[in-house]
Amino acid sequence: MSIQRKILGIVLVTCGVTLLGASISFAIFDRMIFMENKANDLRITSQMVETNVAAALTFGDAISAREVLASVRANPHIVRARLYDKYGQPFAEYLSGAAAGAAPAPLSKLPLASASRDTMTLSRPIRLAGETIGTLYLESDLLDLRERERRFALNASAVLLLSLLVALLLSARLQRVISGPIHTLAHTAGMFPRIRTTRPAWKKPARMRSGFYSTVSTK
Amino acid sequence: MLLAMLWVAAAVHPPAQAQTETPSEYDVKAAFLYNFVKFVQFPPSIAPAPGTAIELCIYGDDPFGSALDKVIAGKSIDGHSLATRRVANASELKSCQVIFIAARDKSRVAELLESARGSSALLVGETAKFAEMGGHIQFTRDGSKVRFAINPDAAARSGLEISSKLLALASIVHDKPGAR
Repeated sequence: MSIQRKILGIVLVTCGVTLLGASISFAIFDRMIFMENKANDLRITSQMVETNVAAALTFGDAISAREVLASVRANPHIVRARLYDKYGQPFAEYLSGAAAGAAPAPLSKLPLASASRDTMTLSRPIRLAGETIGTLYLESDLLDLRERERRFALNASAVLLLSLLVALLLSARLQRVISGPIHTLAHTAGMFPRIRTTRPAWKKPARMRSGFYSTVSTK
Repeated sequence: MLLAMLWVAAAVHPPAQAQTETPSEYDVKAAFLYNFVKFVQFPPSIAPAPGTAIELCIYGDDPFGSALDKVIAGKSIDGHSLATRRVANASELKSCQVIFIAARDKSRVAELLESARGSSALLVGETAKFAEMGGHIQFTRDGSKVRFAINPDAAARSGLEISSKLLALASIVHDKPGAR
């Protein structure tokens, strides 16, 4: 492989690996921030629902409670909102069209907060005048995260390819700074027959092998 | 050993047992009465002083028995404990924040509403047209379910602020023409 190609290869691999590493780091950081914001949104939604549903829960009005829960449809990613009474029994539920109507899980089995590949959940006690009167459970899908990651991957791929192309064009030009003199030297060396020179003993390199000297030898 | 284990199992199950016992009408009304206080703001003229209890007064016959006492036992609202009082004379109602009158005492309703005129106590009753006549909250029945109606006009006249969340659950009743 010629020197130019080696230099180009080194530059492209270095740029590619660096850009890929940077993209992955940004993607991980972006995902962390996104999940933090999503958890915060879920907490805010929960607080709004808790405030409005307390009366319905207190007076056992499941119909009014369902109407309040249905207000979460303003956030299309919330697929399920469920109320449990103070005894931990399911009291009212809202399901978006996208959610499967699975049987309500027992309250004791629900984590306070969780995030899996596809969903994020939050459970919070509802308190009124210092007394816990029930629990609210919210479940959100992560389709927005999936879409964000897909767009990020597309953009990052485009940027990567474009950057590599620019790196290729630039290094194709700039590598001449290194390879040019080497070619000239090699060309010059090829013009003269090989001549052997006798080096003075005191200059004789005992351990060092000079590539240049080895090409300059005559018989 | 087996008896001890059964006793322990029974001791840790009270919440489930509380659920399975069907509450009576007045158990539910007692709970509602207690919870009404959480959604009502009393004006300064009748709000309990710091450190004093919120008084739930039963005027005339007491249909609750011990239900109301059990509901409020150990509870507090905004730092005020709760106390019940059975009252026979309207003149003793001045210190009450909440006054309940049973359906059995139809004849006393008019007397109560008259004596409560100008007072800011929350008036709760269960006689027909109680709210129309100027009472604030009236218990109603919807099949086997206990519901309630609120007269926001009467409450506003008494200086009471009833939370919109409570109003949203109630049937709204307005004053009967000529009631005031």
